[in-house]
Amino acid sequence: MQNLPVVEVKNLYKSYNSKQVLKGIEFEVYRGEIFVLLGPNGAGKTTTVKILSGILKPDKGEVKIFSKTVSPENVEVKNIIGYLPDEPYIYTKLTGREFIEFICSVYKTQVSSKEELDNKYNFYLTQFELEDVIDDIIETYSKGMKQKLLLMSIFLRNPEIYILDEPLVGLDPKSISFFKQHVINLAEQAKTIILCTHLLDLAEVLATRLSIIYNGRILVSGSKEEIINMLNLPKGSTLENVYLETIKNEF
Amino acid sequence: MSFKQLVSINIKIIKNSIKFSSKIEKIRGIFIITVGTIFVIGSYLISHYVVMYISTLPVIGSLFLLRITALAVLISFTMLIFSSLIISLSTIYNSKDIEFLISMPISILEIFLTKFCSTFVQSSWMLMTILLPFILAFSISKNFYFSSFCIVIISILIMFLISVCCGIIISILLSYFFPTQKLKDIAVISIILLTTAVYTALRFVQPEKLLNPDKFDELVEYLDFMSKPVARGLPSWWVAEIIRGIMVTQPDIVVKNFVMLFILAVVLFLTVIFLAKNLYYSGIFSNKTSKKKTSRVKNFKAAILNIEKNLSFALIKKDIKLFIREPIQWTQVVIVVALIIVYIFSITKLPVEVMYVRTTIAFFNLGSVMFIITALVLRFVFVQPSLEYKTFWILKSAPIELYKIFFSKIKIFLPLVLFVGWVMTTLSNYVLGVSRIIYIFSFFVITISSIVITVAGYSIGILFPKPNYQNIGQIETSFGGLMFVILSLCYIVLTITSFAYPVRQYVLGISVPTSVKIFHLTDFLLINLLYFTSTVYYGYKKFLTDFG
Repeated sequence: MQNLPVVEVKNLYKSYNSKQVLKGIEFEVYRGEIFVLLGPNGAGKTTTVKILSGILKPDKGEVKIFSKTVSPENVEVKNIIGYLPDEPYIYTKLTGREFIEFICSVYKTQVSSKEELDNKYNFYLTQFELEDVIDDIIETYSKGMKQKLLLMSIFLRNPEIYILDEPLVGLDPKSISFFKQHVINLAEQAKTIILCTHLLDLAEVLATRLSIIYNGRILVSGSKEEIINMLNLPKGSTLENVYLETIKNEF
Repeated sequence: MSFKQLVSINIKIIKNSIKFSSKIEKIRGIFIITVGTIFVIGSYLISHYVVMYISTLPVIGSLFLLRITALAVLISFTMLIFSSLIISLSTIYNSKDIEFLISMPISILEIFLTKFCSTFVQSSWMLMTILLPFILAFSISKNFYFSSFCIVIISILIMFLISVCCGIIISILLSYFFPTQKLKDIAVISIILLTTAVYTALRFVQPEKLLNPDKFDELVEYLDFMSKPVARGLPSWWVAEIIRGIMVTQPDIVVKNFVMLFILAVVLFLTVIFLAKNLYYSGIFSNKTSKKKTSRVKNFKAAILNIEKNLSFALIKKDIKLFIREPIQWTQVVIVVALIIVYIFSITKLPVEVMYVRTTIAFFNLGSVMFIITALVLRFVFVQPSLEYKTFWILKSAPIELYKIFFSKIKIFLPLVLFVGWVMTTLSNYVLGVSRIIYIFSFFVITISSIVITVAGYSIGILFPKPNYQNIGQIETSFGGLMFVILSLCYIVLTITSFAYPVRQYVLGISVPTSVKIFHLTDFLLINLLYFTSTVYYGYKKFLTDFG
């Protein structure tokens, strides 16, 4: 199953106003994996996923998804990506339903019929408890409701690759629980998930493999066990130990 | 923490934004200061010339000058009430730091006073920049002492304080009784209707008659009429009286009006403090809690998605919904309509008995229409990338060709801009009674220019976005807005110049060789191509690489 990488990130460089944000980022993600990009604030996670989702162009290097280069112009690749940003601003003057309809108009949804889409729509509406507010204008939503609406719009489309930047922000415990289980189910269905977070417990529970990013560079990559071996840490070390040991030498 | 510390933190924020600005931001800052200085000096020189000219008019000179000053002060007074109302809603009630400040051990009154100062500065600096050169020119031409000039400036500042107090009192009361969004809508619609009404009314007064000696019989009647909108009894009238008192060297008039102005300012300020003490805190929380809704009957089982198959239509449908649901945007269409009415009215009042004058005016009228189009594009199109900056990730990560996203906004606003351009040129040409060839020529020029200015406005909006704005005016007056206006003015001058020679020959009845016509047409097309391609090239490049 894991012979060929689905996502290949090669030697990414990006700078803003002469400040180098990414300094040669490289990693690979395979089909059915939950790959976690772990790092402190300002490490370059968001810039990396913005390049992965085709929003930004790197100054150097490239990203390939299913062997096709990702770029702002590549429409075909964007169709198979479900992207959730870390600060998800949405059209506050649309209702929740109108927003979902707009997203479904723009993307090709991976469903066989209209009925199936409506069923899935009702399913996620119930799971995220948005039934009462879906016809209200989004500006009346709380931060958590907006996050749920965005997750719903992505899950509804059922894309091949999920790129989720800090997906748990604002979610209530029930939605967090649903989210974790749903992501595991998606991976079992051979969907590829890239999670970007600084929450170690989330990474601990979900990550098949992970990369620790710091100051625009990948410090280590692999499964938790592989990294523990690489760093010569005692078996059974937590991800917190792994993370702290990895970035220790960077201070 | 006290009021003094809050003010010093705000000053530190301003200092740091200069200190830690990038090289590009520093260059932009220097550019804006240079343009601002040129504007102030230019305003002073023009004001000086106008004041000197009017002063020399026999009999009516000084009187007319006083009336104009009173009118300018009255307009500033009323405008400031509404602009401070709008600004106070964002600074006093909806600023991002309000909850943070409330969580700190600072009294609510001290927080309010800091926000009051911020509202005062933000709402009055522009009017002061416009009024100051005029007052300076007035004072110099009338040989005022420096102390007299200072008295006038202090009087105006006190009047500004009165206006801001009025605006904030309305803001506190409305905010206490209504939810913020509705309140904003009411305020915005009011300011637009008032501005439109005042502007239209002032124009229909036909002040140009005053400068026509043949209409001298009507002067007394006219001056009597002119005294009415100046509104005796208002603080603006007291300021006008202070200026008159200084002019006629009657200190009692100055003192009497200054004291009235000062007492009113103190009374209003104390009222603001009283209201702030009692209503401000609950006003903030009524804003925060007003969004709660009553629960609906669950009907999700019947939910059916209505998905649009046509991508372009889906984009346009989304944009139209967003536009209609944002009253700040669509209510300004009222201003456009008023602008067209006043413009056409002004053309009908021009002394154009001779055909060659008509044709010449029709030609230069194209420049005026282009300028109005620039203002329209600045207001509606240039601001779009900034307004949508934070939501652009949705479209940029979507499987839509980027050029389609880029041009989708233009598709929506171009028909509006073209419509205004066509209506203004066609109606003014009709009023002027020009020949058919000028009709066709105007139509051709305005069509091309409308397209180019609209596309340039959008592209420059992408090149210089201002995503962190508090009100739409901050986007328009940003560095990018300034750049767009300057570039468009250069474009208008070059466009008009490119046709100046053949039009002149046409007016004089001299035939122009075809090669010369082709040369000037090519010149015109090249100017348009240059403005169009350069802005689209850099705008699209930025859109591809770093936007969103």
